[in-house]
Amino acid sequence: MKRFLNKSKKATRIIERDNLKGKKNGHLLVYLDSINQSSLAPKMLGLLPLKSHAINTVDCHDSVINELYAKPFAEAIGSAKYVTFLNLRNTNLTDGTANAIISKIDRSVITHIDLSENPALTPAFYKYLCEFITEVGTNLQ
Amino acid sequence: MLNLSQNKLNDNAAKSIARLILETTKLKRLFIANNKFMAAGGVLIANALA
Repeated sequence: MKRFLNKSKKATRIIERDNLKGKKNGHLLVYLDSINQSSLAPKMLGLLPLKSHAINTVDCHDSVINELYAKPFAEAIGSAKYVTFLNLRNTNLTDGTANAIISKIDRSVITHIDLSENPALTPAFYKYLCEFITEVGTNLQ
Repeated sequence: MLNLSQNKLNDNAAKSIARLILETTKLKRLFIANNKFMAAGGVLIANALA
């Protein structure tokens, strides 16, 4: 599949996978490949294709990141090495999906994480999150 | 910056938050508004901040 149509309501453009070459869009290629392997309809989830600079903000607030999309999204986050701001506000996260995403974050680069309005998260996740943040080398400010 | 507001954080989660406050060296902004902390959780967090 060479073309991926963003099926969200407001999206009108078609992103051609073959046009996303170069290291700056490696995260998007990783995401699209993983989505394609899982036979899912792609949701962009803030993973924008960039022409001139490396991605540093991923903003997918008010999207739904369920178990199906968490793994591809986490892999994309893991390959986007310049992300400093990750906005996951109101994304219907559960412990499993949130763990999958947080575990892929480069803790030496990320400075802002927004996990607000995800009421399904439990104390077990917060324990993991706090351990993640207190690790040596974390740059959260 | 870590924003955990409107998340139903309870007193069990407050233990982790308090530990985070005590152990983190770089975190400057922590948002925990509109959660489900009771008095015990509030005390834990307040003591960590003191």
